[in-house]
Amino acid sequence: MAMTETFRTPFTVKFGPWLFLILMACLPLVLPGRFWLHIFSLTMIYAIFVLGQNVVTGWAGMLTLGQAAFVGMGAYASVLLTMQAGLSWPLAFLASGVICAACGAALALPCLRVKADFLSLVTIAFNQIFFMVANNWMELTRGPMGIPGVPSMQILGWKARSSSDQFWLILGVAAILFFLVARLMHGQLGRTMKMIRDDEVAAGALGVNVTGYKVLAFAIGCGVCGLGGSLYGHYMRFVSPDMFKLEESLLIMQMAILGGLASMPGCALGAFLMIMIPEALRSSEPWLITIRPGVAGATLVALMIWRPNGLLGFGQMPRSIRRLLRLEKEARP
Amino acid sequence: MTLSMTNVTAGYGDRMILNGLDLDIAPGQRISLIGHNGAGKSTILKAITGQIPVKGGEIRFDGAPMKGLAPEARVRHGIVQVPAGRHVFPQLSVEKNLRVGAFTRSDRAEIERDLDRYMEKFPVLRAKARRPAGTLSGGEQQLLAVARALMGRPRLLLVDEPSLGLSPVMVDEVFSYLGSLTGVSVVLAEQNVRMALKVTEEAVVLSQGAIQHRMGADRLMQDAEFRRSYLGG
Repeated sequence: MAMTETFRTPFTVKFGPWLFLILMACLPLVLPGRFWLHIFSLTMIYAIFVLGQNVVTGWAGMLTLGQAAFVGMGAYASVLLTMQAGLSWPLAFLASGVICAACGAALALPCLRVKADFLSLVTIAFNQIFFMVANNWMELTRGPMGIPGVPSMQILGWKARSSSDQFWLILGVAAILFFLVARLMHGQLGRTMKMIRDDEVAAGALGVNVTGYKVLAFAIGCGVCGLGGSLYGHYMRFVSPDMFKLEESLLIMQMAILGGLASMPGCALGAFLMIMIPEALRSSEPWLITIRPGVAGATLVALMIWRPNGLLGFGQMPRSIRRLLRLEKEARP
Repeated sequence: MTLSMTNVTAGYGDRMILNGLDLDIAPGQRISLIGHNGAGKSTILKAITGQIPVKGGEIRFDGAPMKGLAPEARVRHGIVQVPAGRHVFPQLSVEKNLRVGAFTRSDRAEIERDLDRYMEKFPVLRAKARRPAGTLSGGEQQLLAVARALMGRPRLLLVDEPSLGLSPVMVDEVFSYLGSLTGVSVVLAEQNVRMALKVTEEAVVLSQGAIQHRMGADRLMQDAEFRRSYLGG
């Protein structure tokens, strides 16, 4: 399908991500202490989870609430493959992506028989099932005790020992994943998924294989979450079923909605805010600590009222800012 | 024959709506499906597009059996539907809506030519080419939906209830356009019998999943009994 556009890519879109990447790479040099570095590493890992969620929910329009199960599956797969099967981390990392993509596609097939609301329920149930299995399969997962002593990430003999090394490695992986997913979602594949999201009947009538694309969206989204899960497990150096409960799925979903569905920068922004706001409120002031648990909820309520499509979601950026970023031409004829 | 349905049995679950239906459509022929609610109009369309499985009998399109082909594969063969209820993509621009109509095609130059053709034919679509389709009026959206279906270069166009929710003026415009189509067979399922008969050559009157009459639209309009039951006297 030809999609010739006379609209030139604005320089903010062209160079913005690179500038952002360079600034991020400088963070370990300027941040005081290891704590904030840890917070930023965690943010990037969550941004990858949100990216996976966004492919399924933002682009393909399916409200799934079990992404943490795929994160957990990727984490366990990667940890067990390195510790039990002796695979090197990069191989285990890729394998966890493939495993989760396959499981996502397998889950999609029965899921797509049910309508939207029930899809959420089925994925919640899947999350619970995953938790139960991880919690009870003692021989494989050691159950609620979790698996400690997970080796750190290592590539061709280079081991990410210091927190700056780990930060840079996670940044690199996240950048590659964001780049690849952006290529897919801003091309024919993403456009077709959006067609299905916006009007399934019309998409089908025009010759789109609706089921096929939905399964593909599940595979990509769950695969990305699995890759993120591998990073998570080897970064935390520990995995346990508690880390992948339904609450995590809800958190990932909140991040995706907060940042803006179907928005690449929104993935990072959503993860950043949902991790940073509670951390920023972790102060000595007692009243700040008291309101801490409610802030995330209040943020989402405010969002529903003033920014129902998320901070960077479709049509949500004020026109003046869009012009400033050269995302929109001055005036329309 | 462009389309031939032979002894087709189809329905939902265990409930069969069509029981041994025969229907032929010649190249370029326009027919309307007439019948009360539940007579089987939509079921015929769904059986042709492959949205419901055909339990018995056979559907052939240009001689090729359609059995087992998914809806999207049938679109590639040239069976395109305009679904009831104006399914345009509200956030996409009018032009992009037209472009996605060519989803199954890859002949870029020809797509551009078709795009030009339909914009020429509908000045309103050209004037609002850059606007989101959701901002168009109901009638304009219906025209867009028909034009978008034509972008797929169908040889058989199935139009389901195009008058649904349109103002009388827009109904006129949409139907006069449907009547002016050439080079494509059209099956029109429509509640507005008068309008449907105006723009089609033949009409098929359905009752309880079976064909009661099939005759020229003009002759049907003269039929006293038909007028009594479908046009109110």
